Amino acid sequence: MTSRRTFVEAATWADRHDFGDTWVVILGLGEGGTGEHVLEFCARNPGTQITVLEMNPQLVTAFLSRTDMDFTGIEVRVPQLETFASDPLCLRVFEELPPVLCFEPGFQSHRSEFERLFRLLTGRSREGLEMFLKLMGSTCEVGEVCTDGKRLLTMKDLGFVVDADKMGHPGASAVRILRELLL
Amino acid sequence: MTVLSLLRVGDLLMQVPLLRALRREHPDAHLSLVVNNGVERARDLIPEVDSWIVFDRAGLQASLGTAEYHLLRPLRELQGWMLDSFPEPADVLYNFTHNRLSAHLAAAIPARMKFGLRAEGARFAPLENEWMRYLNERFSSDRACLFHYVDLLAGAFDLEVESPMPAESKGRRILLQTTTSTAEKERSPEFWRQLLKRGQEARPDLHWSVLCAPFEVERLSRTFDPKDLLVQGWRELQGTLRETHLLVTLDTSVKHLAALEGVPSFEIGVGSTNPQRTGAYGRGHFFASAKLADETLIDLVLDAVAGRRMLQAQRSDFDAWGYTLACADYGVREHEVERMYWGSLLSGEPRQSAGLIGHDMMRAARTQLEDAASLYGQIKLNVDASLNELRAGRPCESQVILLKNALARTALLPQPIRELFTEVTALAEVGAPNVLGYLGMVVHSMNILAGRLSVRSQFFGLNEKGESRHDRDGNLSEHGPTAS
Repeated sequence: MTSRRTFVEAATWADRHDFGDTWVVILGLGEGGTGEHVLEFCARNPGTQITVLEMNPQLVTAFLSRTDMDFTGIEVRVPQLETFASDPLCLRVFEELPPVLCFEPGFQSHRSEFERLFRLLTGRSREGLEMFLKLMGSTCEVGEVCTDGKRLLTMKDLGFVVDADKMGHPGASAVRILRELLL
Repeated sequence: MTVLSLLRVGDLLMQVPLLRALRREHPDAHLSLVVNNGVERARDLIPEVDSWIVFDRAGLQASLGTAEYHLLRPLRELQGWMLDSFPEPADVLYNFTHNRLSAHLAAAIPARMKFGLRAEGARFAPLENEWMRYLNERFSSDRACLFHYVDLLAGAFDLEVESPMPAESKGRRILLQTTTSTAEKERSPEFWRQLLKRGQEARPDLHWSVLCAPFEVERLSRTFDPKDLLVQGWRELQGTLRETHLLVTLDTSVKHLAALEGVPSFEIGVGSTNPQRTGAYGRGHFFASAKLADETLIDLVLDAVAGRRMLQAQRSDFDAWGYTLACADYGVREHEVERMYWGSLLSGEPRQSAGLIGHDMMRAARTQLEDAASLYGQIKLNVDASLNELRAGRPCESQVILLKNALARTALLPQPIRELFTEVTALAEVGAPNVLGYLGMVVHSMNILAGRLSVRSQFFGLNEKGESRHDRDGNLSEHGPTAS
């Protein structure tokens, strides 16, 4: 049974994530796999396609067993982090660059995997950035430039990457423009 | 032809004389102007521009600052904007902005020729000329900068900017621009209320109004009677300025619009505002430091409204430094000679010919400065003696004689100091009690002058004793006067 606190938490979360995109990726299904936040998000963003990624397969099963929910436009998956680069989802993310929304109350014991997945999907970790630069056709060596860790990479880091690329990255001018816009 | 102007509305309005110069030089070219979002609201004010390209700076910054967005998302947005906005290379690109962001944009925008600051990879291309270097080194730094922003850009891009007509009153309206984009540059609401009240009492024949943008109505209605508010957008304001006697303003874009319309403005400068660099472009505008007391500022505004020189607006109780600033009717352009000298150097004329360009003027100015330098010492002696007389409580008559002697020698000094001398002498003659205070002002002004003389001496090749360091051919000697 879903508690009132969960409802409030889900509604507040959905209110904070108003991006207006046609496709979003949501990480985490929440306690017990109820996915109340997904329901709230759908109510506020009709017509938006949603891909939910959840590390715990049992929660996926629980969520999909809800009988009170219309799953049209909602896809739920358990990602394989080690082979993610070859996943068709990765290519779609590269093409459409959707917002990736974290439902942190649902991370629980899988927090580190979810955080890695978030940085991977947003290109904000060394491995994520390398993966997407390869998709762009770039041969930049990110590893030599970025010091990773838990910090989210920014345009400044990408700026270092293109500055260090002696071959001349095709998007280098645009990256340098954006680096100047960082507040 | 593409022009990058990624600053604020006021900066863009200041650049209009340059856009006009481009239009005169290339009457048939299609002129595209790249501006930050929000600035395109000035579209109706600048008919010289054919198309406006809006750089969505705010949107890109929002993308950059949103952790949920992919790192490459703003990159793709920017690249999409570039493709849509610049499908073909322009013949010429001018970067009027001169900052790092615009330099990288100038590198990315396709054009056959590019002028102004631009990047080459991770570095910057060498600056094209001395004007550009001067702009780069001095305009946004603490170093002395003799030129107005418009003049610097005109030199940097080799554009013939038309000399602005002296500002003249054009009607019976007095407009007060009481707000700016940042609260730090504003004056208290009480000051503006007092100014409006005293203005309406002193000059009921003029129509006093507080300018109010449509979005400011609620805020300004808390300070002013709604009947005193003039609610207008840009286009209407441009029309209103054409029937305006004087605009009293803070450091805002409205003063630049007034300058374009040839309407006099009285700027109250708060903080780091520098009228010589970014004041209303042209002659006939006024500037007073916001450090002055409210009453003093109001007196000065009323004198400007009446067309009296500010010098005559003096009362008795404001300090000498404030007084000097208040006198700075910068339209008078005290630095004309220095500007000529530097202008010829920056334009690439050889040092020798720098002395030949406007040779007569240079020579006359040098003589004048040499004379003034030597006179300064004598005048200072008289003023010091006069001060000593006053301190010793001796009869006023001797002060008057000393001051008159000093006055007789002030013909070569700048007009404001000369007038100050005249007034102090007159006060001493009638035995006014506060002559000592006035003399303090004179001495202070003299000291400022002495500082300027010292600077000018360096420019004009005078050594510390006022002797020329130029030889007979006008070349500068490093070792003092050349033996003849």
